[in-house]
Amino acid sequence: MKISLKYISVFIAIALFLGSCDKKLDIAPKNIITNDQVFSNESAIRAYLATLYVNLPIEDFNYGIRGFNQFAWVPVPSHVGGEGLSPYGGFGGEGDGSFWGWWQDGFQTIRNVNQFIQNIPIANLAEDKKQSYLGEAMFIRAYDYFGLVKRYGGVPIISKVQTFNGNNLSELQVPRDKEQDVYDYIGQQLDSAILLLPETSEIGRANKSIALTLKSRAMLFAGSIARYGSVQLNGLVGIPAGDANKYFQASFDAANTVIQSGKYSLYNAKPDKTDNFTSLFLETANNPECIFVRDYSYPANTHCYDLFNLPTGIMGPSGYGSAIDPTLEMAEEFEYIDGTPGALKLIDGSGTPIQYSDPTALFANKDPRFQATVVVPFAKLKGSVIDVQAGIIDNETAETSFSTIYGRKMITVGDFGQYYDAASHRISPDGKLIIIGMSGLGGIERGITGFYMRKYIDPNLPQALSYEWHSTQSWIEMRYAEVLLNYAEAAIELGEMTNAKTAVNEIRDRAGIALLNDADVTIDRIRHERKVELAFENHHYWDIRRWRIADQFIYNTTWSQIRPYYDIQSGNYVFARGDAPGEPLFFLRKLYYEKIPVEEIQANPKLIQNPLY
Amino acid sequence: MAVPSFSLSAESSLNSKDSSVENLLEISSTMEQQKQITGKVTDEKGNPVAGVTVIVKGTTLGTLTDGSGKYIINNAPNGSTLVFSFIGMVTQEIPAQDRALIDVVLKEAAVGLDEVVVVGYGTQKKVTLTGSVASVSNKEIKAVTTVSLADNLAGKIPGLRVRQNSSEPGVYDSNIDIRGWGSALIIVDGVASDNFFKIDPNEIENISVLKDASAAIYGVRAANGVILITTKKGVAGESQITYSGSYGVQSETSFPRAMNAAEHTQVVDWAEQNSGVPITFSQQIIDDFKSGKTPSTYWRDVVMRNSAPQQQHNLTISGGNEKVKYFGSLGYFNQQGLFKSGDLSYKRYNFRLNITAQITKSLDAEFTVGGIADQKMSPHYQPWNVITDIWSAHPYFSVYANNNPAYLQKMDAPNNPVGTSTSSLSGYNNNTTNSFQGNFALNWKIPFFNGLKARFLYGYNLNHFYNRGFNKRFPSYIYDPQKDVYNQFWNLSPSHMDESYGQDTRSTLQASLNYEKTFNSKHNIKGLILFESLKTANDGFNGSRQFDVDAVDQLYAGNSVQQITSGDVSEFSNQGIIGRLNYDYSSKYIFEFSFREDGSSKFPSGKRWGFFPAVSTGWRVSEENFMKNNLPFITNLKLRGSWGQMGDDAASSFQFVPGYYYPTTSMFDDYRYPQSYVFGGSLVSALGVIGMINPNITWYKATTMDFGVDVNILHDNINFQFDIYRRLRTGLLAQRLLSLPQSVGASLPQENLESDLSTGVEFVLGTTQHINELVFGLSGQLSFTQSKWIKVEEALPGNSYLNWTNSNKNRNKDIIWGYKLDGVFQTQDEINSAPIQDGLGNSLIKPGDNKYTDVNGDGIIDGLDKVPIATGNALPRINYGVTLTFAWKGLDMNALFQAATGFYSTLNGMLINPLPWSGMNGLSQFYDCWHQADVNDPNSAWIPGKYPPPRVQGVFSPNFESSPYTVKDASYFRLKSLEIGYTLPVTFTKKVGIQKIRVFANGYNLLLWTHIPFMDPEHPTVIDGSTYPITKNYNIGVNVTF
Repeated sequence: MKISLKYISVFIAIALFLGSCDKKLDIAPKNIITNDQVFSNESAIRAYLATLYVNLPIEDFNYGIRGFNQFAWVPVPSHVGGEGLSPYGGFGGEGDGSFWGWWQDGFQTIRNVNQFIQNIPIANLAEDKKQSYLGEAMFIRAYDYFGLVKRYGGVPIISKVQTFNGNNLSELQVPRDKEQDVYDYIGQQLDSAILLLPETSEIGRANKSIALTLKSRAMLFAGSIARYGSVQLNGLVGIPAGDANKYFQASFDAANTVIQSGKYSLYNAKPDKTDNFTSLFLETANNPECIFVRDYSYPANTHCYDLFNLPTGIMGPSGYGSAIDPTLEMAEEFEYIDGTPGALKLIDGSGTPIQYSDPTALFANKDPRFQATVVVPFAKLKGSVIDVQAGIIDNETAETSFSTIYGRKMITVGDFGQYYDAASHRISPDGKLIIIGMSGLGGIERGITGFYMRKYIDPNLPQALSYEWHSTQSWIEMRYAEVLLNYAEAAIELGEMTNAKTAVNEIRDRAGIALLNDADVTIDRIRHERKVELAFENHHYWDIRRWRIADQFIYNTTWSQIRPYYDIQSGNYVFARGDAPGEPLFFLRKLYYEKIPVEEIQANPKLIQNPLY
Repeated sequence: MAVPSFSLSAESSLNSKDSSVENLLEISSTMEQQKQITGKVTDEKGNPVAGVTVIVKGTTLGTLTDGSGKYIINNAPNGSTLVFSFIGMVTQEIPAQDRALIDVVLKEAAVGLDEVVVVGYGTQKKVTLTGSVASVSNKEIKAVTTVSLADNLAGKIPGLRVRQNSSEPGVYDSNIDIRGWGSALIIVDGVASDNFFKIDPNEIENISVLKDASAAIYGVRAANGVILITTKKGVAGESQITYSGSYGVQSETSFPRAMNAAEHTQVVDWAEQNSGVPITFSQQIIDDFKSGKTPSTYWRDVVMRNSAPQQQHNLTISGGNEKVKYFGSLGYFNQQGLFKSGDLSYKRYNFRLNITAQITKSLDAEFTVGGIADQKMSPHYQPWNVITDIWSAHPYFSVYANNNPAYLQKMDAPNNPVGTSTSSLSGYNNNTTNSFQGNFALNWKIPFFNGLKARFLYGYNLNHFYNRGFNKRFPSYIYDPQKDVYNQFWNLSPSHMDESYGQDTRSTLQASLNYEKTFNSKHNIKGLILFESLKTANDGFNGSRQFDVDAVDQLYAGNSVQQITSGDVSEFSNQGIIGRLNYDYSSKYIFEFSFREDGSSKFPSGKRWGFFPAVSTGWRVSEENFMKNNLPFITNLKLRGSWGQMGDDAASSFQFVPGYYYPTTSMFDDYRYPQSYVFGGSLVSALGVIGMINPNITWYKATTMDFGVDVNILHDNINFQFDIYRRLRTGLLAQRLLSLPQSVGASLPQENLESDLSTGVEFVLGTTQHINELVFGLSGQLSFTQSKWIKVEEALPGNSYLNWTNSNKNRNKDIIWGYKLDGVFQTQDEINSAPIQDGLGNSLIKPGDNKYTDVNGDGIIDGLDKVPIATGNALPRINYGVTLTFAWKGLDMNALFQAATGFYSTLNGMLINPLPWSGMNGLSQFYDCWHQADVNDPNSAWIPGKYPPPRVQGVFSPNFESSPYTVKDASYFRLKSLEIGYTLPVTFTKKVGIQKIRVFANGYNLLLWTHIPFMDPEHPTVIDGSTYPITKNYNIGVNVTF
């Protein structure tokens, strides 16, 4: 009995031990930290700040069809603006108004910055640091709202964290503010930020000049919309024309402050002009032109720009390549060094094709920025000649199936695996002549215009590493050239021709092309300069929107490709203009504003949809 | 008892206590005095029974009865005992004494009625079982050779649904569920386990499946039912060593053929003609491929072999005495893959040692220890990817550039499949796991309190996994005839290695009191009270580096600048108090009540405890006198019903905790990247802001009801079982639809809002017949299940039409919507007068394209014309199986037919697109397509084909819409397994000192009947059908008992 009592008590003890333990179920998750933990520790505050910065609407290498910070294999911005085409899908000027959609993510980003601002008072920081963090957060909030307003026009301005308590739904349904009010809010946030922010900052974080540059950019948008747009929906979209100069002046003043600060200048480190413009985008450290730079770091923070954009012939091991193919129209935007228009000399006055023994001679004397921006057929990149050949001209061909070009017989079948025998005049595995270049055009190659991207391509990244998430070149979100161009555009809109000329000629001088005379200083030349200088930096599409010319610029438009042929009889190359694949594109007027998501209109009856949707 | 099973005489006595061979020395000493014994064996009706094994106990002496039931044993030692055994009958032992004539009447074994069934935290006599519990024994599991226990069980248990997705070695790619619900709780020897698929069938005594309220005793983890596995224990008696082994080959059940170069180039031209783009391949090129002048590569044969071997071996040893009993087992399985490179393979080692020991008269102890170690080797490039590439690789590429084997041919896309399927070229993926389960239990019969027992159990599970993935870049070449050089390209660059280590541990602590007593020999009472505590911890770490030089395939040889590390840690706990009371009156009126008060750490304080009750009752009508008197042939008729509640805590992931994820894995969604930012040259990880939380989140609750009937006629001559059930789940997690504006910047957390209902029926019908020496069994089982939404968060529809199309309320979950099909267009005139289906006046429609039905008659084919066209979206509503067994003399046979119907699969990717992914190669069936007679003449005649006219990538084709063209009836009926065995005569084997030798041949997935001709219907929707194939296996093997 003694023994059994002992056993019984052991069992009862175990039972009680097991039965009583609600506490044993208090197991905290291992990956969640509390608000107090974050704001009592500056490293954690920096982690919060990283959240805010990484979600800024910066249209960098990771911006594509799916939005920000994505695997951006379809680089929509340059495509839609007609600068380049993508072989990965037809995302033309026509759209349903949701390409650029950033409603949900945008407001989530804004909620995060509001929550940050509300917690700064409890942060374990010295008072001056609190002020500087506050300035940084206001810069971020302005940037986020600029990301929204340039897409949707007026949006609800929400500057506090909203909470749902079960029955305050209508309080959370905030109507849209006027577009003008949003721009004014951005201006006011930036003015506060400029006061609070330091003169200089570590790379990647805001300072006074960065806030000023954003202000010059945002106010230029507001000015253009006032001047070229129209007020609709009682001001939910559009800005009264009478206020245009106010915004242009604000843009001009902000740009001027940056210029007058003397902290920045155009990059001019290399004697060769093409080299110089190429290096500008790759040498971002200690580069006097860089104002706001987003750095990347392998492996956690990278992009895929090289993977996407190398020509097919030298593409990376996992494929892709050719994602942005500059159009022939864009190639011809680049002037000749003497300032004459940039049309390529494919045919002579009588319509006869010009024979080039050196095919790169076609591009001689173009603006040095041209080949720093675009890879042309037969140019060298990473030690390889970029073979772009659309076919062989052989007037004596023995093939029965052929087309003609310039009245001569032409072979364009197959792909780079197929050869032509000059002796038998047939396609033959024993032939020694390629028909299609390794980088097109035709066959299984991906490029569709004959041109490839050069700007930002890293020539030193080994081809074997041109791979998913392996590129780390920095993205220059704001550079001094943009400040000069903002300044020039605001100046000419304000009628200050001299200031405009000075700024734009500073750009042209650095580029290495003829300067403008007084008579040349027109709004069109300033806009043209902006398109060429800032090509493929995701400005152009927004520019043609705010200038309200997109619907004329892209109307039943088919972009063009360049087609190089090797002529067996002459041993020379000739070039032809061709239509790039794809349906004609239209930019509908409604696309000047994005469609507010339908589900958001349903969730918030106080919202009014943008016109024409 | 799902399926009757039969074993040979020698084996049927294995588990009986007195079956062991007596001391051989003693036998030889008594050999001198011998005599002849004869006799006749009959059944209860007086019919002679042929084929009965008659053995002199403890010797190798024996014989079989002849056709008239007679036997003669010569030279039987004096004082010997004869053992009479026969399938389906009760074995008898008769001491010969001095008799020379011994006649015997064998009784039919009352299979099933005296059986004990394992239930939650205990066992129950089958006669008094009131829940819906199916069980299978070791013999039924062993009748087939499969690496996965799940595949082994397919078709054997009513209500257990098994779908095999592929036969890839080491992947265990099968779905298993009970009654079509989610993943079931797996309990091995009383303790939760994660290794269901990998358990060696030789270690298993039996498997019970708790399908209704009988699972409720597992509380918050039991909503999807419970599978209980009991491993074998030792039996007192002489030691017994058993070896079983088999060797077999595997080959695909079906594998679509890719187009050859002539077919491919021709289809490309047709597609280009249909798309209005220039023709790529001249007729001469196509003709040269056709004639073989230009070679064409059939990648399947380059990369895959026609058969791959597999083998398994197992050695068990068991025995003991009244005090200590033991069972030990050692198993090995080796499965090779179908790649010629030989780099896809799997090895598994299982061991188990179960010991029970009596410590004192009232206290005994159990130790059960089991372990599984396995290793999967595979090319780094995923096998399903290799399969896709085999189909899509262009057949006009040669394997090697310039046919020089030193230079692998560079292809456009995909990569050269020879490179990607070969580990020495492209690297490997090796997964190693080591699992250990150990239980220690004490059972104490409490003295002075008759019928009261205490039990204490501690169980520990450890799963350790180690994965090592080496992605090796490999070169391929393009030959340039102009310069006679091989231009080199790198594939899968850069080389990198990923290693991950992890361990999952689980401790289980149980203490219980058990009471069992019969009063007045009529009132049977059983009670259980049990406390259980579980703790689970998972910890993982992985690291990755890139290589500048990949000659040393070790992580430390990689470049430390380009390295990534990450990890994952979690911890959970459950606490439960369990009670159960059973009462029956003379095994006639049966009642059971159980409850569990269960707590889970996955929920906030105040919401974490739940009460899960269950009741069930049964009435054995056959025990009533009116039945016994009037219908004596009905040996068992039981009506039973059950009701119970259970939960599921798997879904919630701390949605009640406010704060920030650090480091953030995802702010918006999974594929967004990066999640960090560079400040002044140094990387700062971002944190993830948690928006709104739900402080009230809790588990969902499942309420099940089951009603069943069990009938046995003349014992097991005919048995019948029927169950009808429903399970209502409430409080399923969903986001409240009352959407907040997105401008709030955060969405509502999940709440316990939705509910659904699944219902179904199950039948079993079986018979066992003895016809002279032949024993024959036939058993069929069928289950039907369906599930529908009861309450679902969805937008209020604007009108009744939208309500019909969009509302899922009270609608089955597995409905597929699509267009109705009205054949294909035959002529251009027919197209011109048909409703518009391309939005462009049918200008893009060609003869041979699908003609969709304009259901609403508005002249336009659009989303409004979509109607329900099929049910059973990829998972069958009806599963059934038929098992056929027979034994005759030493021969035995077991055939299992398994089938599923009432389901459809949506074909996609390569299964519908002749030229997928920008003109890659496709499947050869599409060569039989509509096309024009002359690719250069747009006005040439259309030639009909089985498939619609192809287009190039990016050009509109109307044929890929959801319609009966893409949604196929996936019903199938297959000969799942067949085993034929032969047991060598005992008289022969005893001479060589072996108790029993049985040789067998079996096969798995042998025959298949299906509506989908080119694809195994069990897996077409997985990764566009390009998974590693399902294989059929043929094995030969032997079982030896020493």
